[in-house]
Formats: sequence, C-alpha cells, structure tokens
Amino acid sequence: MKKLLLFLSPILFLSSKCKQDTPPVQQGVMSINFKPNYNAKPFVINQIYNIDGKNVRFTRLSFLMTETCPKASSSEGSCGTNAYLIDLTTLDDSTKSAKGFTQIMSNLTEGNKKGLQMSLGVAKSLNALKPKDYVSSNPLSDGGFYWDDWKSYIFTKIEGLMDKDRNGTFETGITLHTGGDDSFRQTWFPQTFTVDTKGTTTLNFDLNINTLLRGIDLSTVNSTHQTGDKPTMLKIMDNLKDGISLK
Amino acid sequence: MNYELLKKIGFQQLASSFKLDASLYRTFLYLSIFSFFITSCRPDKIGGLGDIPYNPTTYDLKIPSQFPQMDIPVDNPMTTEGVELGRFLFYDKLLSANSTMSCASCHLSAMNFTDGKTVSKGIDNLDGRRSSMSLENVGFVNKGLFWDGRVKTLEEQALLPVEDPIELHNKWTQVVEKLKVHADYPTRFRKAFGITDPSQITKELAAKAMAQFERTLISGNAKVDKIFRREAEFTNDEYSGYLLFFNAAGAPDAQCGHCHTTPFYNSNDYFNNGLDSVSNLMNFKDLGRGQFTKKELDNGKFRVPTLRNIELSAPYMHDGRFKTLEEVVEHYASGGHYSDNIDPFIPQIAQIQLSDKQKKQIILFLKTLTDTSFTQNPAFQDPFK
Repeated sequence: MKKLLLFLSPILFLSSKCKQDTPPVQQGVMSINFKPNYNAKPFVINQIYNIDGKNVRFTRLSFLMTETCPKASSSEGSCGTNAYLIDLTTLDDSTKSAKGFTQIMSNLTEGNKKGLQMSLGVAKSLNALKPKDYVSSNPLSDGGFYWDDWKSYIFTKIEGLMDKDRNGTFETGITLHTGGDDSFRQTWFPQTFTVDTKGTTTLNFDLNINTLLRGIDLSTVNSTHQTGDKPTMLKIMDNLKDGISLK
Repeated sequence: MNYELLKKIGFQQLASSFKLDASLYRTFLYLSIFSFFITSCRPDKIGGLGDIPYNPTTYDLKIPSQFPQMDIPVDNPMTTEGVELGRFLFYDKLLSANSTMSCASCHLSAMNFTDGKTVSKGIDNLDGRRSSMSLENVGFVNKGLFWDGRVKTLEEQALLPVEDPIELHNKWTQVVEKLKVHADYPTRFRKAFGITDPSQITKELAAKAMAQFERTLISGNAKVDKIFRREAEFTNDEYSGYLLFFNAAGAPDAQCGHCHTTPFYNSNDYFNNGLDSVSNLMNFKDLGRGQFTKKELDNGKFRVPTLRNIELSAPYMHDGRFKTLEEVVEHYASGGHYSDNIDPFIPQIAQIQLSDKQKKQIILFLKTLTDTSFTQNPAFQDPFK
C-alpha cells in the first residue's frame, strides 16, 4: 500500500499543477441594453424629428463596440477580441424603442464585478485587421463596416433623410460615419454586479440622441467621409461617449 | 396452368418435397416469371451500390488571399465527388418537367452566371419576376439569397427553382425518381454521399451537391486583383474611376463604395437604390425585401449584387431595366427617384454632379473587375458537352 501511495503521489502532484496552469473557462454571460431617447421620449427609426427647424428621419443608427467587458476593477487587463454591433436600426416603432436593443455578451469571466468597461469603435489592434481576417460570426467580418481609404472600420453609422424646407420631401441624405484610430473612445461605468453562467445580469443604458447630435448642424454637415470631416467625426464620438449613461 | 403441367415443366419434385398444393405452385410460378422480368429490365448498376467504393476526397477550395474564409455547413462538407455531382445536376435538363431547361439555362458561365435577359423565362416561356442573379462568389453571401434574401443557405435555395411554376415547373418527387433509375446518377450519389441503394437518393442530397458546386464558383483574378497584387497597373482613367468609386485620396464621393464594398464589391444588405418614385411604400411594383420581411420600410429594397464581372452581367438591376453600364451610372449620377425609404447615399450622388468624363472613368474602373479566367474556367462548364 505504501509503495502504491509513493507511486501515485508524484502523479497526483503533477496533475494538480497542470490544473492550476490551465486558464479558467470563461462561461459567464450577461446582457447590456441600450434605449435611445430624443427629447426624453423613445427615439424611433424613420420617425420625423424636427431638429434645428429641419425635418429629419433617421434610417440607420448603429455603432461598433470592442474592448467591452465587465471587470473586477477598472485596471484589470484586456477584454479580449469580442466585438459587438449595436444596431438600433431595428427600433422602428415606439414599443421596440422602449424595450431597447439588447446585446448578449458571453465568454466572460464569472464572478463579482465592479463595473463595465465600454469602448466605442474598434480598438487599434483589431482595427489594423480587415474583414477577411475575421470569422463570419464576428461583426468585424462585415465589409460594409470597413472603409478602405481610411484603413479603418466604420465605427458609427448615423444615416437618414432630411427635409430642409419642410415641404414633405426628404431630399437630402444624411450619412455621418466615423472611423480611424483617433475616433476610438473608452469609458468606465462603475457598478457592482455579478456575472454568472445563467446571464442573470443586465445593465441598462440610455443613449441620448440630443447629446449625440450636439453641436452638429445637419444642414451644413450631412456627410462625413472626407479628410476635412475629421473634426465632426471626433465630435460625434465624443458625443456618443457622453450620450451613453448607465441607469 | 394445372398440377399436371407443373409436373411436366419440372416442379414435380419440388411439389413432392414441400407438399404444396397446386394453387400455391401457380402463385410461385407467376412470381418467379415476374421477378425474372423485373430484374432483367433494370440496368446493371441499379440495385445495391455497396460494391462501389465510397472514398470521398476533400475538395481543395482555393480561396484568393484577399477573400475571407467561406462558411461551409458542417453537414455538407465539400468533396470532389460532391462538387462534380453538383455540376452534373446544375447542367442537367432532367431537372425540368419537359427536360428542356436546367439551372444553367438562366445562369450561363459566359455571362457571369446570369442569362442576359431582362427577366428570366422558364420552361413554359413565362416571364419570371426578376433578372437572373449572378452566382459568382455566391458561397460568400451569408445574409440571404435571391434578390430579396428569402432563403439563408445554398442548400435551401437549390430546392426552389425546380418546383417554381415559372422556372423548371417540375416536382422533386419526379426528379428524384428519374435520378434513381438513371444509368449514371446512382453511382455518383454513392461516390459523393455514400448511399448504398438508389432509393436513398433524395432532393436534399441533390441540393447539397448543387450547393457544393456553387461554392466553387469563386472569382478573384480580375485586373483589379492583379493590381492589388502588384502584377498590373491601373490606367490613369481607371485609377480616377477607382478614386471616385471609393471616395479615396480626396476625390469627390460618387458613393458607389458604400454599398459595393471590397473584396466582393457588394454588401450583405438590402437597399432602395432609387429606381422608382412612389408616394407610398406599398406602391412599389415589386416589394422586394419587404415581401419577405413584411416590413413596409423594406419595400422596394433589394440585395446589393456583386460588381465583379459586371461588364459581362447585363442587363442590370433586379428587373433588368438598364441595358448598359452607362445607363446605370447615369441613373445614380441623377440622384435616383425619391421615395420615403431611398437610401441616403443616393440623393447625395447628385450633389457632386459627376462630369461625363468622371462617369466614363467610373465605368473604366468597373471593367477592371472583369475576370474571364472565372467565366472560362473549365471546371465550371457544361459536363454534357
């Protein structure tokens, strides 16, 4: 018996060491929900809004998030390579808008958290790659969100139609796109919560569209694709960051 | 036939051995004769296929380096045998009710797998609803097939034209019966899918084979590809067209590249590109995407087609209304026709007022997307010729 124990001890020791070295399986799940609002009411895609005296219908509102994950402390390491497309374009009636857009986040480390790191746009290391480098289940595989000339993903798409003279015809297109490494924005939302395998936690965010459009005159800047449009792009990203708040 | 006669033709000993009565003898005799005729009429290959080796070879799908990986369903891995079976089925007129048309009748390789018609016609010479879509790089399309995106996978798609009354107007049950008694197909199905008997041939297996073949239809060797591989160069006008197309290097934004993104020069998305002016979104002649999603805002929207080999794919748009690339560019340059869900990029095109020279430059750039090594690839041609 003693011999057997002597023989088994090193094996048991080695096997336990191996287990310690294996990183914990990340099976945590949680959700984040975004509710857009304009003038304190649910913001609805394709509904007519009077903005600075112009009638505007937004047809698309979406943005990419990377480096977004719950953390036990704000200084914790990287969030990995997960990417999310927050596509509020689907909120085309007030009921849907009131429910908001929910993004499930999986493969998270379980446990108690102190907050959520949220990054708006595509982090530099991921932005250096192209859609062909990602598997099709990853939003970053969508060529429609990559702009070759910028060598960057399109971080936000705010699109719509404007009726400048309010005659009922929305004759002017609005295509506010942002991108480039300098457009990347990161923020930290402190909150105590737990990440488990059942996905019981949902963090609810408001997105204030008034803030998103702050300081942008749609009648003079209705498209951002040229180099000279960079200040507007940066303003949009700052506004987006400021416009998101945790309930 | 009576007992005495049976004895004369040699059944007497059998009769004695088994002590059977005359009526049972008669039944036995009839069944024997019937079985003889049945078996002698069937081709040698029909019946058990177990003797034919089933050793499928993994298909070596060559994807150009500038393309993403292709999503291939785990339940339909590509094999050389499956692809070849799919090619035969794709070109076989057996699929149509009167054996006059095949898939290839509306998807001709020389025309970038379109048919050059405004709208396609089926076996009864009835007009189809829409223009034939190119199958080029179709294996990379992952957000809906057909102009309206009504099916998700190539396997689902391949099932539909056979039974469409304005296409091949057949029944899959009839097609499958023909395949089961065919001199060649049971063996091909055996080699591709390991069936052991022709009765195991199904429409689903046929669709899987055709989907495998369609996934091989990859084009990535146009002049533009060679340019980006530094094997060729743009002419000045082609380059100017490229800059306009992609709003690159400070060129005016002709807005083309927003929907026709690299590397396929398409989008996995649906847009209203301003073809028709309607006062009410329900008034589109063809509701397009909206007919499938039942969302009014999707009415008049269609999938963005690839522009690769666009030079060979005329006529253009879902209804084939434009015969030339000049007409297409003219449409976009005008800013299109207004409706409530027109894509915002379309009216912006008119703002830059493209000159005639710029329009020609865009067309010259579009012609750098032509890849005849694809349309002439022997692996994609009719195996019956």
